[in-house]
Amino acid sequence: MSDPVDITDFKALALQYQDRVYNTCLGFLRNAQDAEDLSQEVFIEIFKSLDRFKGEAKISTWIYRIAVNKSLEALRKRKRKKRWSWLTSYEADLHEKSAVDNIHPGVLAENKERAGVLFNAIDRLPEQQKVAFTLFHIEGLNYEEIAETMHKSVSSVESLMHRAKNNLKKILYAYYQQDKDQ
Amino acid sequence: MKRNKEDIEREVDNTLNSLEGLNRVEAPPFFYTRLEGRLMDRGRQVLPYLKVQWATLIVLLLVNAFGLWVYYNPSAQTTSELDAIKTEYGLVYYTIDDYDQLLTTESE
Repeated sequence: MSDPVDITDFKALALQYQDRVYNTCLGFLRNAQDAEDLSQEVFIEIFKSLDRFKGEAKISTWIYRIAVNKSLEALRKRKRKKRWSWLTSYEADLHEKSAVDNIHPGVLAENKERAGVLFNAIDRLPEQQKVAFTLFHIEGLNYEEIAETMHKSVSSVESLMHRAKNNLKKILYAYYQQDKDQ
Repeated sequence: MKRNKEDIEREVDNTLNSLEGLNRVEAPPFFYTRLEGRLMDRGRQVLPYLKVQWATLIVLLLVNAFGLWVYYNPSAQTTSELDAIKTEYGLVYYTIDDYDQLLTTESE
């Protein structure tokens, strides 16, 4: 999961982890500009708290944890904003646009449409299931790495993944059933 | 109806597998340069704020120190000014000793 890196050399650390942090943030936010801003905030947080890193966890686990927490915070903020956006139709339009336009750019061209439907379903999952599913499918972490990042046991992650898949099946089944009825 | 259910299930499975082969996206070009710029901006923003905090603290400490100094070291000038005011307004203040002395003088 992590290559040896000198944590006192912030530039080396940032260059080594920038792709992973950006990809993780993009997996949650699915908006390139938001993901870049958030990734920079993640590294600013790392810069501020580097001296507090005691080495109890792997550096990569610690960085993923910060990236996940920041992403969840940003999603909550976005949700709150969306809740109040009816006050200004301009903002409502922007949210609607961002929800339609943004699919993870790493998705294969032939899967884009389906992936868009799947991402909308992922948005409706409970937070913990969303984190486990995103880290597994978008960032490609294994269950052990996800468990370390989420402070959980491997069996808890397995259970979260199982529930996430079941919930996604239900959401997607309802979506396609409605689609066929129309 | 059965056919319809099978179709939907196939759609669901295909959609669940749509993230297969997803490529990890690389951070945008000059990501670190922009990060460095942001860190420097932050430093510039934090420094004046810290200066104001220190200046406020020093002023507060000086005001407190002056207050304590005045409280524990009332200057002679202040006392004489008070006496002058007392005299001017006839605010004569007698103690029990003054009364005793007055009674002794009267009895003599």
